[in-house]
Amino acid sequence: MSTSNKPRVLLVDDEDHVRTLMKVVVSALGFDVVAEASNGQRALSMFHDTQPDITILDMNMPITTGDEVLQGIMSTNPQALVIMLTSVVDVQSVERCLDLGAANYIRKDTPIAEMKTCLLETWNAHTTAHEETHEHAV
Amino acid sequence: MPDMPNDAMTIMIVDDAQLNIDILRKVLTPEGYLIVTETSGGAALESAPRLKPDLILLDVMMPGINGFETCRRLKQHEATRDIPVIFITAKTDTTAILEGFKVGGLDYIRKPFEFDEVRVRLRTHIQAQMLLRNNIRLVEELETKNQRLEDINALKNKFLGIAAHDLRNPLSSIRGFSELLMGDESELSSEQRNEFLKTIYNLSDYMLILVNDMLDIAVIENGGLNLRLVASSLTQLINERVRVNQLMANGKHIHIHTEISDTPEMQFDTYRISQVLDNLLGNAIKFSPCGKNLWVSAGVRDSMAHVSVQDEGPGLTDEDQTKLEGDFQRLLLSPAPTAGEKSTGLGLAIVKSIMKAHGGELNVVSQLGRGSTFTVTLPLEHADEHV
Repeated sequence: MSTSNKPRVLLVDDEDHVRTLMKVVVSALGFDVVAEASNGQRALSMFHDTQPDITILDMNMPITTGDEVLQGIMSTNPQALVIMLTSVVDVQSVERCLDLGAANYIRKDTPIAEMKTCLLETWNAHTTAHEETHEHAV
Repeated sequence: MPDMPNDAMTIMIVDDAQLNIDILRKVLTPEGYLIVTETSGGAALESAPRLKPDLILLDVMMPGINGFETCRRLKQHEATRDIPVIFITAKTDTTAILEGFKVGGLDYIRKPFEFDEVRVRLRTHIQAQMLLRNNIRLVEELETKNQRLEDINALKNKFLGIAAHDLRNPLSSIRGFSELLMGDESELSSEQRNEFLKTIYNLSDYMLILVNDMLDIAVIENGGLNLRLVASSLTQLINERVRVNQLMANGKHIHIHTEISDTPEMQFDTYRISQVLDNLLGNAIKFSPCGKNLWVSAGVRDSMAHVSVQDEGPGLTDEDQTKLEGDFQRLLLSPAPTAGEKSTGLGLAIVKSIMKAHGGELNVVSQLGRGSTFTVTLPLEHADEHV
């Protein structure tokens, strides 16, 4: 996690309107969107450049898909917090991403209040677990 | 004979005794059958694949290849395998009859002939054969219809897939932005409010285009693209569509050059050809970087009107051009719109179908990095041809 109190967020979706909406939602929680990517390739390089606290990652993207980006992130940063964005209820794909290390998923048609709750709870659970691991190590 | 088509069934009589052939011909001709004859097993084996009789009356005791062996060989060949064989035999002992059934015979008639028995047996087998043939035809028809239904179902599933992703995503965002706009006013700046409203408008506009394109494709797939042909001026229509699209081009500082020769008045569907021109012009503008040029030219060559739209866009890869040559409903090519415009990927399939329905076609010449030229041709004299 960054030294600032604000979690730093990387937004990845191939559609501008989705990123615009998610940016508003994320900003309303006090999170800081530090980078946006419209494809998988750029997402991977931006992840390495910005080292975000949270990556919000579209599952369904052309060329490099969301789960491929997720694998790329997890292979080098297994502790990374990645939340998948999905447009359809594809239980198998969601389960696969959770198995690959995604912390949670958000459906794009979720009401905004629920999106906020989900993001916040996932962030809090992640930081708590992170602190516990840290204390245990100490 | 009841239920017997006049033109129908051919019976081959195979017997080395001409007298037997003559008798059977006399009995069977009035029944409405066509009669062909052979006097040996060898001759029958040679002619049956070619003549394809509906039934063979086959004498057992013949010099050379006897009836049983002839039958066995007939049953070994694909062309004659399904022709029912009825043996003519003087023998009435069970062994010979059993042998006949073993080699594939369906029945037997005895010599000397009982005429009524011959007629009835033949009638029964011929009717069974007709039923079988009818069943095969029905099964083939069913398979064809089933295949067509499967194709339609696959298309429907594809459309549902498009609807699921391409309509659901913008809808989700429209709902999200509306929710934000309906929320606490103080949380949003007026710039944000305007941006959200503009996004909602653009998304709904795209959805409308997508739904219309999907409906057009559905109409085309169902063979329902009925053209409303009216004698009109293609030149006038091109100039009108260039003017309309000029607005979009202005937004990207794209200059449209025209070189439009007069075309004679010709029959075409103005609504559909407008759609074609808008599509080609719209694509050229969408995929061209700002500040580039477009050339629209039209003229007549080889009894066809030619309309070309040339751009300075990214051009198409060989792979993309191959995709364009094939049958497609949705074409997601490599280049992306240059100013955030949306593309449904259905437009060129619609263009292709509209031109085909007019007896014309769509052609593309493109080089990667050097732009593309899309040309549609339209016959000056319209022949009745529909998709």
